[in-house]
Amino acid sequence: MPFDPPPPGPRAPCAMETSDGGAVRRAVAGEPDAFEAVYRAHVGRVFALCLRMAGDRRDAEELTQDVFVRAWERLPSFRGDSTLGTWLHRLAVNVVLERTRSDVRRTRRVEATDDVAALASPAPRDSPDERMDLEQAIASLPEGARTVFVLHEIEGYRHDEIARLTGSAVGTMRAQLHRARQLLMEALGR
Amino acid sequence: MRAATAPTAPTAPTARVAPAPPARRPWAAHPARVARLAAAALLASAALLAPVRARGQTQVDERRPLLATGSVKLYNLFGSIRVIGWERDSVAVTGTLSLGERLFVGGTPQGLKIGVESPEERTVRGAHLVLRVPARARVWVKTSGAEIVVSGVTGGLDLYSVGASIRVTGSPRELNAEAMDGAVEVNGSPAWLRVKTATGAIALRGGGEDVRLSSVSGPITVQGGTLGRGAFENVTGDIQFAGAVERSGALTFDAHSGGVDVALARSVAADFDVVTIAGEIENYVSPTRPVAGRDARGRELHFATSPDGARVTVRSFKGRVVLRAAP
Amino acid sequence: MTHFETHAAIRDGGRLHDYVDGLLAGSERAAVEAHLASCAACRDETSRILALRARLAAAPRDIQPPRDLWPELRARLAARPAHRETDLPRVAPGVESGPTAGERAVGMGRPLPALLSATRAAARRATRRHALLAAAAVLLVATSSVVTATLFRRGSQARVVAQQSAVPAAPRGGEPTGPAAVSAGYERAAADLAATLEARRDALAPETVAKVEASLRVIDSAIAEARTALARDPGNQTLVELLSVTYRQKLDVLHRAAELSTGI
Repeated sequence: MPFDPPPPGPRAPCAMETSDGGAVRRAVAGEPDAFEAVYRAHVGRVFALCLRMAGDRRDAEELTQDVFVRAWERLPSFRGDSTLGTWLHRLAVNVVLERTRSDVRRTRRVEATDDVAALASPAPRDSPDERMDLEQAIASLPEGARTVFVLHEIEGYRHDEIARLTGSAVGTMRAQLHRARQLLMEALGR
Repeated sequence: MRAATAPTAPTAPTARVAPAPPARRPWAAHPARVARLAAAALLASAALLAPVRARGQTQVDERRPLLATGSVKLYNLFGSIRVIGWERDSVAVTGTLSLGERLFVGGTPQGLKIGVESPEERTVRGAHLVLRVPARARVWVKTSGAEIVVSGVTGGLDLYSVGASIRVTGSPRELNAEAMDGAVEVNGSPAWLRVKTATGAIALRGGGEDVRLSSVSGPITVQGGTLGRGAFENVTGDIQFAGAVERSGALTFDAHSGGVDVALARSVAADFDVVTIAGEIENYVSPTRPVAGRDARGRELHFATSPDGARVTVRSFKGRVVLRAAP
Repeated sequence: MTHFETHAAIRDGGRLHDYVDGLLAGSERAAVEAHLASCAACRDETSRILALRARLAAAPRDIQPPRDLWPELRARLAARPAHRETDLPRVAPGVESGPTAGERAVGMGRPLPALLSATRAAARRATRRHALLAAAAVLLVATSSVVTATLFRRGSQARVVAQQSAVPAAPRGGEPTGPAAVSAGYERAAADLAATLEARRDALAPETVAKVEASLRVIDSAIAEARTALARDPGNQTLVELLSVTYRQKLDVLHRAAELSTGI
């Protein structure tokens, strides 16, 4: 099941004691322009997560916006028992996973298969750099493996957390992680 | 609860930790920025670019190597532009330039930039170019009045026009086409498709996984394909849809005064939600009649041809909505 | 088990990965370590996994989107109906009073207008929204309608027109909400784009300017009709969504016109 932020409750008086406290206070009160400060401070982190999970720039842009829209809606319930960044991050993971679950479209990327050749762009002999960009390699992973891989290797979630978030068994999740690592190691030539 | 410290390898080599290159792919930058990049490239030093001086009407024939999944940017304000995907790892630009025009070609095997500089922007004749690119390349084209015709490209396409038409045949992975009053025609099923016009007509003959077609007053026509997710928006122009949607997919139609005509294949299971503020709804799919809307204003129609079907949503301000079952 | 059987069990069972991830303890861990001492292939594999993890650890945690998403996001935020997951009573614009005891108790330094007494009793999200929308609809009718067809008129006049239409009269005590917020957010974004275009007017061909203006007139007319209807029927979600779509198209046209002006 998705890991939800804590349910709304009476707001602690000092909940907004964060480095961007003033902006957050005004954003909670409903000012879109104050929310911009929150956005600017955290968009890089959110976009990085969305980009790697989605494997596609345009999807990542849409997802990033979706994350901040939901953050805007839920900001009044942020109680300050974690940093705003952590709270946003959990929210972002939920948004991305929900979209992945409910989204019926097939990936519009190059069909990601176990075939390493599909992962690596064919490099002509005169190409200076034959090793694939790490981000491209991650983006080329099959979706399930990529989700698990990004959550574990980059975002630092534990096996049991990822299993709960993705609704799969720990064993399945482990197998996908190992497979993702294998594919990446082959693609990166290490 | 993590176990005790993670181990190091028995003979761990020094980890080669190279900073990862940025995730951004140059071609994918915002079109305005790309335009500025193109501008900068065109004005850059001669070491990078190779101007081809034109005397009278000049033939051009330039070839450069390009990675199979490399990117090509082409800028040509007037004339015509034909883009053809081929199976070589190179780009070939052929065609003719008008008096006073110059062709600039520059870049690397990962990304090429090609531009036509005119001495006076409103040259009527313009350059007529044929651009052959690796089929899987990403191609970006910007023009004002040069008709763009593309075929055989399976990579990505970003096509920008003002008044000239855009015609794409084939099924690129991604297609983004924007025109003001130029018409846009797609014959194929791009996986991801975005088309925007102001007054230009939009025609999709085919389907797609993720499609959004938007116009202010140009007619939008979709026929013959199956969509995963489709969104269609028009202000005063009509929207006509004749095709199918995946069972787990969704179609939404938003129109102000233009008509909306949806003809779904009979076999498609769909859940319809149709609301109009001041228009009419005609249902030839099922016996369900539209009813008065909330507070007795407008009309609404809700029915399903089959449980758990695709969601079809129609919102119309005052246009006529017609639902039919295609044979 | 033979060395080969152990090797197969460890490789196929993903034990090397588990070992690297620190998931093994006790006898399991000892078994893997014993195997590694005598198996060069597994040592090599373990090194590779570690090297990959190290490389990932160095990957940037922060990646800026290639284009600024804020303008679009801001417009989306402003278009949302007054629906925020808060347990605090929200505003009905036009009614001013001091903070309630409840509001003071949670330390809200800023005084908030109180709810209309009718909706305070219910305090349900739906009811709250309806009251909000009803009150905000009054505002909407009172605001001047936007005509950006005069977008490209030279001089300060265009800017004055854009500014007049930018934000509906703010209700006493706070930001507009509901449908008024739909308009306010988009009008602000449109005004920004209009000002940008005005500055770049010379970069566009006159026929292009005429085309853009014509489309904007069509859109503005649709927006005006939708807003009038919304004023009569403020709780109509379909209208709010139609209006949002039309506003987004307006921003789109303005945005694309601005992009055209940046071409060579």
